[in-house]
Amino acid sequence: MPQAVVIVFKSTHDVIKAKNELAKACIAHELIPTPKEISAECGMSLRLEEPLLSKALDLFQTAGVRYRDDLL
Amino acid sequence: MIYFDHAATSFPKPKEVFEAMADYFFNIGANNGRSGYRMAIKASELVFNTRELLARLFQIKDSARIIFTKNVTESLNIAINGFLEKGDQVVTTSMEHNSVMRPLRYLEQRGQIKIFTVQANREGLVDPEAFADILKKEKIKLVVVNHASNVTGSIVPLEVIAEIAHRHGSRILADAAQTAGAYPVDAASGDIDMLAFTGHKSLLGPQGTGGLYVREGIELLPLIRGGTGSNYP
Repeated sequence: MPQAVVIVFKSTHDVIKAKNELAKACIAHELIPTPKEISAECGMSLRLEEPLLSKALDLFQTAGVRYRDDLL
Repeated sequence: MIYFDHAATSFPKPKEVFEAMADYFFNIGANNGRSGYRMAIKASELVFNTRELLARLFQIKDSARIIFTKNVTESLNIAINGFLEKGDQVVTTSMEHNSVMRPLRYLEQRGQIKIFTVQANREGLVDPEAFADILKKEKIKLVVVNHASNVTGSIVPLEVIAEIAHRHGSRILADAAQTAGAYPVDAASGDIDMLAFTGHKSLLGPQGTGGLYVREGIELLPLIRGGTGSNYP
């Protein structure tokens, strides 16, 4: 099974926007509570399989979704 | 009974407002942005979708630039107090609501800012050229205008005043308390920097709702701190 990656976003607004963009493009993903090892913000993050990451990031770039690339 | 006080608040609200609020309380209930469980995701989607709808209504390109507040008074206070610094100068009009005039006068009395006022004529109309006259002479950081007066119903040409303000390196804050939902408010073609609105007048929502659009590139000092998670400064 491919490794999973977690993407953290700059705001809740960006998480929902990211989720909508991935759903539109039929890219499998899962919304998860942000792991406490990554951040103490008690919000939500997105998990997907590693091979899908670059396609997802391209989508985010185009749609203006702000994610934490410093945590990737 | 015939209700005649819509400029204060709209009545009755459409039944869809009650249904939407009941749906939230019965079926969603959780806090926006809290963790990743189903109820919280639904709440976050609700807030996201509301932002998107408002962005469409006001012709705002990026809905992430809209914040929600308790009312337009809070929105105006955030914009005025968060944007102005000691030594700044402001132009406003004689047609402003007290939710603009009182925060401005407070800053003036504290010696923080200087206010220039454009006088409206007997019909309650302001001449855009009067803004230009002041902006030519003085270094003005912010122009604050009431889109439509709650007293006279007179409407100002926002896009004309915005153009004059920008030509002189100033920003514009529009108070759309009376117009949002009743009259077109176009932040894009009007080139508006900050737009304050309330939910409970012509947007037909409940009291306790309002918002502020802040154009990208403008950073406001917050009025209230904390409450959104532990990681933020």
